[in-house]
Amino acid sequence: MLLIGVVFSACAGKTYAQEKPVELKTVTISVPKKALKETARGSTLDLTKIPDAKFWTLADALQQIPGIEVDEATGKITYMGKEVAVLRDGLAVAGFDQQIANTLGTGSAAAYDKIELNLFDLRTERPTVSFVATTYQKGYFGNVGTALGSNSSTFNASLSLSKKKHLFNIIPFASLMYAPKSKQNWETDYYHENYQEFRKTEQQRNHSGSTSLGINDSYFIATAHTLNTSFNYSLNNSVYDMLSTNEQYQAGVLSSRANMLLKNSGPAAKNNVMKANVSYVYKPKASAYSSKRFDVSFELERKNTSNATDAISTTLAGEFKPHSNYQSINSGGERGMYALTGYEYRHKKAGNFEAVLKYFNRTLYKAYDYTYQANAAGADSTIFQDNNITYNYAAFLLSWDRAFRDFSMRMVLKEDYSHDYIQNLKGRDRVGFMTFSPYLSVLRNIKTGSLRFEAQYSQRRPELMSMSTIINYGGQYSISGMQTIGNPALKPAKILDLSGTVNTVVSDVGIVATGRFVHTLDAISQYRLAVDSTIVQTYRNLSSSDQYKTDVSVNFFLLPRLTGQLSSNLSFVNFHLTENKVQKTLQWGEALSFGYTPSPNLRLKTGLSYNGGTSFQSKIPARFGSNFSAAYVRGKLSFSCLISNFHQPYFINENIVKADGYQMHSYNSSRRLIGSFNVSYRFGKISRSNDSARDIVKDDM
Amino acid sequence: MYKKLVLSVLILALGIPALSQAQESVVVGTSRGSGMAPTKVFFQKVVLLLDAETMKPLSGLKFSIARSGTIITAGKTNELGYGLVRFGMNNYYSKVEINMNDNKYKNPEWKEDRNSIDYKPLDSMINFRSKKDVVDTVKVLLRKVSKAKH
Repeated sequence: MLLIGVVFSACAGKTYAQEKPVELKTVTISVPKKALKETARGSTLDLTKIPDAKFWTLADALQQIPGIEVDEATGKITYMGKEVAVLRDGLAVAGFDQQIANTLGTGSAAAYDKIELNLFDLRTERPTVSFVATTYQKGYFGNVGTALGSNSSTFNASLSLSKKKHLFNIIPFASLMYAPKSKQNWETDYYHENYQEFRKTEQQRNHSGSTSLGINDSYFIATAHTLNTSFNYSLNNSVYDMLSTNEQYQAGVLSSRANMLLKNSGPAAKNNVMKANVSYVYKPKASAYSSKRFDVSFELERKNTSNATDAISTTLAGEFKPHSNYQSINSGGERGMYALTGYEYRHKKAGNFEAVLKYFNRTLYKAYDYTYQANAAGADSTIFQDNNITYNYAAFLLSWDRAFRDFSMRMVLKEDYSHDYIQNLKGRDRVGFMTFSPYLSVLRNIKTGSLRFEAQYSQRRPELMSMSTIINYGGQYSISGMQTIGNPALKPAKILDLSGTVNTVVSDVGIVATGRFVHTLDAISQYRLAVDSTIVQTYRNLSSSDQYKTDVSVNFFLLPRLTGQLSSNLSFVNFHLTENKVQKTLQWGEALSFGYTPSPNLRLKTGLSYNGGTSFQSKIPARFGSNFSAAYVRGKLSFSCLISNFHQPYFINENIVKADGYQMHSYNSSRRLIGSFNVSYRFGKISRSNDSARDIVKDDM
Repeated sequence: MYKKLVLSVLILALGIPALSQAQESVVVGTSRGSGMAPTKVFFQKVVLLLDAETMKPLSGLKFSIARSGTIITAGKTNELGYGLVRFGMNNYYSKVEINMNDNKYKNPEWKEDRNSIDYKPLDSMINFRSKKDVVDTVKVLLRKVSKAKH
């Protein structure tokens, strides 16, 4: 509460004041409560306290939390560069995370009251954001929305029914993506053999679709007991056609040419994901000083993938090219079982204690079926390879946190063990890793904002799943001697991650500055190496890498209802590839954006960005990006439209790769302009919120 | 040579997804800042509510301020009929509408904020002269609405 004495003279109505000065007595005004609350545990953004929030898309709302970055194109949400898991009301509801990812740029934030960020969630071992809806009356509520765009169209809905002891929810979703036509050119120079390769491709059709249905129910058995069940099933299909020309020159003389028409398709019937989750929460009545909570969660997952490629080629007269006429089928199946149990004890003086024990079991099956023309006479040959991987993981996590007056802190300890059995990786078929990770988070509230510091030491096991692809053509085409899969000396990477955030206000300008330093020892990297003009894909431990990253955002009001934002980011990485070999990369980006609210129902936004730099063994030329968006809200209906890159509807992108033994210059051209129009409708009133239960997000892959 | 050819096919087959991902990150810029503009600067406006017939100040009256049918803020008059209205940088408009017990602005938060005697403004439009004046006063004349009509 703030007391403001407003004293002034005023000429009031003749009849009562008779021109006398009037003194307005002290007026009591309540200062609007802060929308953002920060502790060592995380941040909570209360959307109900922000008048503009009703115009915000999910991406806009998330971006208000210092340290969070959103990529609408990929649906990825990151906190200080770490990938974030998405929950609904503190629960991992099957299908909900996918729905949020798909509607980041179009979904309305008005459907939620709060967004909670937990910097280190014991369930997921990474940051989580939870979209929270508060309690209202019983009955139906939900939202329906559709987006029509130049590159994709989506339909999304959420229908809920709150009745007696159940909160029932259905989430249907459908999307169709149609990438614009594009042309690519590659020019590769292999230094050692005076050998060049020119490749041109034209992507003619590139469509993909996805439909999913999620059903979930929260059953409030009694005051202290809640049972949550959720089920999600999704179908995905994709298809693309590509025309390509491949020319090879030996010492400047054309030695080979092939024109290829390639068709790839992944039918929905063979590409599907099923997830089922059951969790139970026991939360006895809290006393004045303490509360506790116990929960158990169990999840099953099934995933099938399959896509077929058909390639038909024509070559130079008299030239035979193996494998330029082929059919291949890549298929896989994944089965997962996950169990988790957690206990939480909160005490006013002693702080909050949490313990989580979890176990995962996952099996993966991969198959590669390849039929190709083996000789000029047209005889076919078939290669069939498959692989089975079994993965087991167990982890124990402990946490303590406590908030003092202007200061709060949190500590987490984690110990885990994982074991893989890889059927077809001879000599390396059984691998076990034990890792230990401590974490510390400290937050100091200052008068104008907060200072945050996080430190984590972790060990990361190799991602063995992706190392299981083995392709060997045998006979004269054998590449077994050239290809290295895995590395006998592969060991867990050791990572020290330090980060800090300053969130402050300096003369009515909001500043968010973040800094992050990541030191990685024994970094595991997918490394491309060229030996005798042959590229070998391998995994190995780099000796070390150091990453320095800073982001500064400045937010201000230029005029009432006109906001501006300036942001700048820099990322510098020093890779120590070997003792003698070092590679440095630098990426930078600058952005300027404005938001204006001409009337409470209309919000306009425009922005300009400029970024470029270097990445591992390649260069990213600097380029501009632009966007404009408008959102209009009328009652429960909202409309929005978005146009990106209007300054450059069509463009040519260039990339240069300089690696050991070869250099590749590529450029591709495609439409860059993107537009979309969205409509959504909310109905009913949001019902009671769930009690959050612990759930599982698989962190292993 | 065959090794190179095999490799070309491999790259062709494996290179496509990598390429499309690279393109995607190019098409949409990734530079985005974080945080929000502080709304620390407030505009304080005072409205004086008078009975149109007697020209006497009306004390203890609750009112809301709206723009284009959306409630922005609310206030209550003191014993001399003055009511202070505060706007943030995010919701200040120089032209607003004043509402007395008007139910068309359905907002659950304001449900309890109703006056016992029903008044209606003669002219509901309020025009704040200048945003530079942090405190200024606008007179609003109100007429009592007979209860029989409601």
